[in-house]
Amino acid sequence: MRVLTIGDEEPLVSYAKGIVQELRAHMVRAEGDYGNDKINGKIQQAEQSKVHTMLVIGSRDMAAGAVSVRVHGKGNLGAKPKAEVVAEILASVRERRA
Amino acid sequence: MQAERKTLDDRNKMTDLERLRHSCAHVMATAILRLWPDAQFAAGPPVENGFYYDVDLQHRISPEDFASIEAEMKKEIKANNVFERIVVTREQAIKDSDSGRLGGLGERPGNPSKFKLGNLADIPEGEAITYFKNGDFMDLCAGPHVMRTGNIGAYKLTSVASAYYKGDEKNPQLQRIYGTAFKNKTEMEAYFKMLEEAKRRDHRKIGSEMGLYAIDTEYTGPGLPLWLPKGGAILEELEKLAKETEFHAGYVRVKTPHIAKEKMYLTSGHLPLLYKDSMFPPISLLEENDRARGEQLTRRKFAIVDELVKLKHEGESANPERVKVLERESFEIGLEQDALGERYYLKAMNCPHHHRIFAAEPRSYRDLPLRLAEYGTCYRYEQSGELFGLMRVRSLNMNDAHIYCTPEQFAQEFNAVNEMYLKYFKIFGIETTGRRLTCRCGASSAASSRSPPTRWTSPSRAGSGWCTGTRITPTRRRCAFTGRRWARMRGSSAS
Repeated sequence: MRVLTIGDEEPLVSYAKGIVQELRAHMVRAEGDYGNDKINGKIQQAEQSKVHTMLVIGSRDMAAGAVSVRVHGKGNLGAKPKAEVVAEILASVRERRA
Repeated sequence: MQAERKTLDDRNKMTDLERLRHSCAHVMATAILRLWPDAQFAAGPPVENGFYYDVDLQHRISPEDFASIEAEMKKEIKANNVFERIVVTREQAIKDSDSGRLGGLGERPGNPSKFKLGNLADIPEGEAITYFKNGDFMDLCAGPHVMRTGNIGAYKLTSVASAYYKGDEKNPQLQRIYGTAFKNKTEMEAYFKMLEEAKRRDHRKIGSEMGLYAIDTEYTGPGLPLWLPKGGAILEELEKLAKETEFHAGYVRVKTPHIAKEKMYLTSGHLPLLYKDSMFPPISLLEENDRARGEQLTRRKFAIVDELVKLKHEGESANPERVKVLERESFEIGLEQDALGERYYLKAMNCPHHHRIFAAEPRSYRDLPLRLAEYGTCYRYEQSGELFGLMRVRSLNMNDAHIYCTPEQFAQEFNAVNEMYLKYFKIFGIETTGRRLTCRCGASSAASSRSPPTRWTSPSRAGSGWCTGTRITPTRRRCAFTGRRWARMRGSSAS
């Protein structure tokens, strides 16, 4: 899974890194794409590498404590609270859900 | 190597499609002769997905020539010539070979059908010698063919390779032209579509595009895949799944070294013969001066083992004196070998290591069933021509397990293993039609007699007895180490 930031500014990048760290602490293979490439390009690249779950974060998401979820093959699933998304990811890993 | 010569009986069993394809090989030969009249043909059988014909020709045929050859083939098929069978005497056939008539459109003075002469010599006395003739093309051939050239609905030349006459590298090198043929266009299109799909799904393509693994033939070596981080992730997940599943099923995990002394494989029977060609050559720790003596001892020991096996086949009592002498000599060689130094082999299988784990501690029947599991890295010396992506490699990780149990426990253990396989198959969407259980039931090959037969109490009876309560029907087959897990299961419980 990959966390993508919209832009490369602080404190957005630190917020994204925090999410990656939290997931990795739970043995989830999370990685970050914090560069200043256009977000559509970042998403396309992640799609091509068949990243299962993408968390897309902009400053507005950060302000609301939310992340936008995109799942490979299912597309954009919309913005959800961060804690809820993390819990959902951990559950799907535990239960080996596709 | 070329397959052995087909008997007439084999030929009669050729399917309609094989007949069609073999006929198409004749049509292709006809076309090639129209373009290059001096071509000499050798053998042109149907193969799995088509046919080929071996040809000796000054001109190097390349895929650019396929269009013109196919155009000539079209004319021959349009002509709808009959495949006419002609029975001749050997003298007549030799005469027609000398004149260059066989595998030609007409007589070709000074250009005898040399390969046909060689093929002719392979036809045993008493078997009918026949020609098949379509239009001008006449060939030494036992058939069978379709009725007419027009029966060939769709065809295509696919590739060109080189081959030695009769598969022997001492013989001249020929050009092997491959093609395929079908009853109609629809079937041929479906076939090529299937090939395209297979190409798209080729794991070698996906592997490099996705950065899953690399094979670095120059530095690491052919057949020794390097798992890149993304491939490593897949590997780790698969291992995790299996570890959890096996933990749940009561397996205990062990870990064994990648090398072992020669003695272990001589005991297991993988050496000296059975597995020798599949194992990497040994790592010798012999001092330079002792190497020649060491080689000599090993060779002698192998010879002794072979003779012992032969003697045991003839029956234990055939020559007890000789057996005693050989065993004594083998023992003494062992002592001298120990004094000289050791030879180690890279492990090609985990079984002997696991059995040493079983033997490492005193065992009671109360310890049974004992289920040992390991992700063992094994090394097999596959021929370089056999290496293929991740399908045929020289290093591989085996999710390997060995179960030690009593005969009474066999049925339950077997069913549990079977259930576990079914579970894996379901997870990965693998549809299977059947699996094969190999055991030493009634084994009689030299390979399987390494363990003294006395250890197998009435093997075949016990074997089928143990199958009671399982969902398998025993069929007798030669014991193979591909079925090692089952074979070992029996071995352990009988000892």
